Amino acid sequence: MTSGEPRIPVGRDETPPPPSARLLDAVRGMKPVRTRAPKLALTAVLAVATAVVAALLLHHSLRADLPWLPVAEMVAIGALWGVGAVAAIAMALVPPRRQVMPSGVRALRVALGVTVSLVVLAVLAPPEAPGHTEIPVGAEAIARAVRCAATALTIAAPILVAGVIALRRIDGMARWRLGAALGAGGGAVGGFALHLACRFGGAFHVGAGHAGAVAIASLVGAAIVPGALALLSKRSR
Amino acid sequence: MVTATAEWYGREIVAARGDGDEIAEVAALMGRYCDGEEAAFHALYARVAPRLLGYLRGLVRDRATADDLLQLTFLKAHEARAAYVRGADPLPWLYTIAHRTALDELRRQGRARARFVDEPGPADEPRATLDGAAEAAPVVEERLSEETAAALATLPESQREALLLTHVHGRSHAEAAEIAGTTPGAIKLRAHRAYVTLRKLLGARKESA
Repeated sequence: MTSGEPRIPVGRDETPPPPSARLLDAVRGMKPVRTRAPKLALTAVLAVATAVVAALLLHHSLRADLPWLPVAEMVAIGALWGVGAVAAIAMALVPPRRQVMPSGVRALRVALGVTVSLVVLAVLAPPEAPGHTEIPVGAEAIARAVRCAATALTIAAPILVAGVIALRRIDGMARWRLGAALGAGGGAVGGFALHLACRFGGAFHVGAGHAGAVAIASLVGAAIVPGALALLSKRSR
Repeated sequence: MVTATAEWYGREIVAARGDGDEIAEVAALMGRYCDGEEAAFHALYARVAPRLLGYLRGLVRDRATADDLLQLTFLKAHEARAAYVRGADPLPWLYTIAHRTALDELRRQGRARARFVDEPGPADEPRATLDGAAEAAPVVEERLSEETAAALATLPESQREALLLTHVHGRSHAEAAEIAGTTPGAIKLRAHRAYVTLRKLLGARKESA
């Protein structure tokens, strides 16, 4: 700061008061607490995601056109769905280095990046095997897209719940941002499962029904996670 | 590293943004506190209460309210200590709790804007000492002048917050953004605007005088 710039005052110099009787009472009776382990929480949430995807695949089986689809393309696109899901969930749960709280700004940026990237990917490169992949049209296209989006959201739901449980002890100003990232992560897990299970193709179906669910799940996460965390926080006190 | 003397002042932190050693020490204290060690709580309180009080006094008007908010902040931190991540720097987290506590209080009081403290401090009060790297940090105004206080009071709350957190309390833009619940870009812009406005206001007052 140069001498020509305004000098920012600090305030009065005063000793802080000693801890209040109430605070001392609380501290006197305290017991050791188990602190948060964000990486463990991330592992747990990813385990839930894996279990949900496995359950869906057991229930629905793999997509019928899978043998005719190019393996490399399927693996690459599946990996992008998976990376997007893990990145969004990790940003929601794991704080930056040496920080206590996950970064809401970072989480929201990743959530937006993942959502936009997956929508673009789904629209530009929907996996299709000509003659084997069904491409719905007209009213059926909308109905199929809605059905797939609902399935993806159903998959996202337990992941959101697991994420909220993992975040239940956090306190922060922008929990909606973490909710958006959790939702995007859950939606991406749903999209990943549909990538393996849904026999329908086409830019509209995959873009709206599969990737669209990521955006919807992200919005749902942003809307409900702050309230859910506040509720859990109240109940735990 | 900051050496706390018998008296700790909010101003101390102006010259001392926590270095790696200090963060490690405070993190270790927080870890022992979470393990249930009462002495660690007292050491942590001694270490960070002046900073939080300085910040709270920048947001609310009077000393008594700031003192109450400080106690409330520590009570909330105590209740939420299980949220701590071992090895992490607890200060930004504690600032966040203090920030929210102050905002809640301001809302409760129905105040439209947070105001700076404008009372002069006792003239003969000794200053806390610093040692190590912190001594080389930039020195900021030590006493709140009436003119500056009046100019600061005219700033929007969000700009004052940004100025307090970054210029006064030495938080990085990213940390300040997390504490205030906004983006680093917004914090940078608000602090810059506050600074420009402050400069203009003080310049105009100087000219008119």
